[in-house]
Amino acid sequence: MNKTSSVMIIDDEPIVCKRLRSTLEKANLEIETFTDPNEAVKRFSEKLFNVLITDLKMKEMDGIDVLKLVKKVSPETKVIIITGVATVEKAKEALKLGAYDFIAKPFKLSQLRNLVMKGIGLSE
Amino acid sequence: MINPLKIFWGRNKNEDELSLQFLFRTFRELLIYNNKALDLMADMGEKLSGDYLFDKQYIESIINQLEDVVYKIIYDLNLITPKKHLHLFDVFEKAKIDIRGELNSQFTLPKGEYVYSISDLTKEMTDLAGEKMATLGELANRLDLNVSKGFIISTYSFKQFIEYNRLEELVAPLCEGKFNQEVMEKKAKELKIKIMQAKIPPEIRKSIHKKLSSCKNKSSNRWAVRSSAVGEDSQISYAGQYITVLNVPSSQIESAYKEVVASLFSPQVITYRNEMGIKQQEMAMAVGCLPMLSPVVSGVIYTADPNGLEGEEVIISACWGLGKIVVDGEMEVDQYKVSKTSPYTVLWQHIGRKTKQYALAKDSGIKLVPVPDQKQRISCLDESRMHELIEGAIRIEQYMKSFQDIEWSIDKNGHIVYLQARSLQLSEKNELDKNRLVTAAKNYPVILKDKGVVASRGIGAGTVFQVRTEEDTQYFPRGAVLVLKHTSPRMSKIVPLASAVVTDIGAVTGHMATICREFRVPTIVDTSHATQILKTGMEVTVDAEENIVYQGIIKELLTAQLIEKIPYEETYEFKLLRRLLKKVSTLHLTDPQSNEFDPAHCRTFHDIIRFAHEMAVRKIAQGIQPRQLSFIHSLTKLKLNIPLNLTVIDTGGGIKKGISSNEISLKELSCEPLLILLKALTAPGVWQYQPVNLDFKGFMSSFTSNRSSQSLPDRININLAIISKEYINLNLGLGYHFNMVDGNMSDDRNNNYIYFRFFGGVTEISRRTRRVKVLARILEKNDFSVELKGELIIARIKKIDRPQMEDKFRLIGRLIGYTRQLDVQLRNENDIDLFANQFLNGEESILVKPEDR
Repeated sequence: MNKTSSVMIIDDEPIVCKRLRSTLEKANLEIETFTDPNEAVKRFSEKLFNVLITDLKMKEMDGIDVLKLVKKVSPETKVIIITGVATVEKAKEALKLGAYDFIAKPFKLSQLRNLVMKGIGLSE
Repeated sequence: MINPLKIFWGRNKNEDELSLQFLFRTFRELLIYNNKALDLMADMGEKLSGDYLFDKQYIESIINQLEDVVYKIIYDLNLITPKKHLHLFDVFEKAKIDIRGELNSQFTLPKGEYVYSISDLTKEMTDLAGEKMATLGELANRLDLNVSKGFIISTYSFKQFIEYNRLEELVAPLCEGKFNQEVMEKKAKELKIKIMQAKIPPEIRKSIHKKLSSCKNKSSNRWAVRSSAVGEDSQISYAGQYITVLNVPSSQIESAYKEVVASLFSPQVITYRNEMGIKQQEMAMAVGCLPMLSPVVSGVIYTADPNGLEGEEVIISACWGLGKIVVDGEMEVDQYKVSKTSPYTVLWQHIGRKTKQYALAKDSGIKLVPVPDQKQRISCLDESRMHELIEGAIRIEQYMKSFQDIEWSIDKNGHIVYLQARSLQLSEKNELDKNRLVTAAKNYPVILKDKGVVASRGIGAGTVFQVRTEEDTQYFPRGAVLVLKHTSPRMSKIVPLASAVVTDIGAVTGHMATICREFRVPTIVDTSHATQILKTGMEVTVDAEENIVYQGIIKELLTAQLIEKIPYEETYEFKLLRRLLKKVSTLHLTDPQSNEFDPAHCRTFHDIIRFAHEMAVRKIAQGIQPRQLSFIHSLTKLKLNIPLNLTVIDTGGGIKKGISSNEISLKELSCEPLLILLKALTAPGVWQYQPVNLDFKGFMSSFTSNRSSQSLPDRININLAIISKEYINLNLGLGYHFNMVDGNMSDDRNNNYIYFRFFGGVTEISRRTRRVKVLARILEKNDFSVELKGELIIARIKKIDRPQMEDKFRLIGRLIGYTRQLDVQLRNENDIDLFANQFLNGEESILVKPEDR
């Protein structure tokens, strides 16, 4: 495997961050997680990530806003949107704004990992 | 939902027919809702496999759906059996309030008993028993380890105790962290004094004293009174902050209880909670009362070296007498670093000079006493105890899925007693090794990959043991990998012994999968051919995180899963889902024959739907009343090459469009289950035309049986099929016996089922009974679950896919033909197997015993 790829995870539900971290770490990826999207965006201005996984609906900041900000700084970052069943339509809109893909909760951990690996270009 | 008015007004048909159609449509609808409810509960169970990511929104949404469907089931049942079961709505509301309470509160102390025996505790009861004691119960119940078996005074008692003494006003502000340090310390001290002066409510005292006298504590009647707070030992460690009172005589148990309760509000604990930011959580203390041991040796075992990183060693500390010296670390003790792999080589040891030990004081409490000279410099653990201790600790670790810190003692008889187990706190840098550990798996051959589904997440390794028969289960060795053809409730008893489970066939949502999750045994089901690859004796590692089975035992992978700080099972969402699932899916109404099978005994959603389903099926199974058939002459008849005289009522899509004739042929039928069944029944050789070889006894009986001749006029007419495209309800009176087939067949296996009922006959009772026994043999061999009662047989099968369903409907068709006149041939018990085997071998058209041919 080449240089380790980096993944940023943003979700205001700690369990999502925790479980995604543990799953993706096993795939030899460098992970940073944030429950506060503001902090995440700040961190993104310091360090670019290959993949960004963000929840769509968060209290502090909308996932779409995160997507827009990140795409401005780093157009090549693959952004994966996590959505609830109720907000699938909005997630589809995100695709038009340059999101790489979206995935609806609840999902299998392996599905998301495959998506990330595909995004990085290391399909499993 | 069906609107009865629409059905009655919207069409212009005979009223009796309409009510019959309405009955069956509502019944089918109820069945669909029933399956939907079971699916929803199964879905919740599936999420507990650990393979999914879900959040609280998911839990809320699935509960909403479940409430909706259960309500509809009750509604439909009251349409089928008009207003007979209105009481179920009350039961529903009550169950709903209970579930909502759980869902909406961040954390509430559940209502429960005042006291519990340790042997009744499981991890799910953490809220009632506190972390420490619930874990102890788990060690005893699920891992079969030897623990000190006393009882606990629950958090429910704690809550009552606080309220009874009106201490809430003092407790609440402290919990919320409202004061500065100085004021807080003052308030905490005041509260402690109040608690020590407080009275234990009479009914709790009564329960405690009852336990004190009934618990087996003959030796001394002395107790170890231990803290077991909610939240202690789990995510945040309160290690050592709560009090344990040792060697308490029964007469002083109340004051020891109060002392332990008061330690929940000590200034140190409050400061610690404030620093950790857990103010909002309710504080609660359960208290364990365990028979006081007077151990020979005590100590602590860590299942990993907290400073090393490989996780391949255990660290043991031991001292003479009680374990306080080890826990306090004040004096020299024995220390060992031992390899975690058999034969458990000691890698390093230090035998300390142990001049003193703790022993029980005469009246109460403990005291330091000198250790005899000859024991001061010798190891206090012998090799066999050490090995036993390590094996026990590894089992706890595998089960808890994290490195463990375990307190233990050895009693006078040399038995190891486990006192406490909790997650071992490791340094941060341990996380970094996970990659290396996981990568090690690449060096091992993969023997199964992405076959089947993960039913319980985790990693387990061991030697394969294939279990084929129930007898094999007796020989199943602890720690082996259980490999099975089917998941089966009968195999569930050996699940706790297994390090992992792999099956050819089975569902994530089945009973056995639930047991696997309960015992946290990594499980992969539905692999289709595991039994052909995983042979008894092979060493394998089952990675039920990645859905891979490797050849060989990969220690690195086993270690990798222990690195998780909080196993997923311990997260808030998992605990909530698990609690809710238990609330909705626990089944109290298991026996439909019991007197308690009524709405008054329904407590959960599962009870409600079980009851509603049974009542609905009973209503349908009563069959068609002759008065409901007064209009039968106007209905559609089916032309067949056998004299079945079958009338068809279509409730939707069962007959091809544009057919209006009163007589149709098979070609015009679009109800697939009926089509398949009738094709099998009318195939050459299945329907018997020749007169059967009736012997004298059987012949006479057909004329002397009152019952049969009386019921003759009713039975002949009732050959009726109520159908839709996927549904069939077939009532056949053939001569003197009665077949009923109710079933559904679709592409969604969850909606598929067959209910088959067979009753009666013309011959003597023993022959009729033999006939249903033949049926039972054949149906059981074909995976039906079968109930036999005299000359009645009820067989059911459900949730199998379409091709299998087609086979089963073909089978039922053949069986109806085969057994039509079979009773006369069954002259003795030996004939049962003979004819069952003849059918199973596909030789049913030769309907005679070999010697009669």
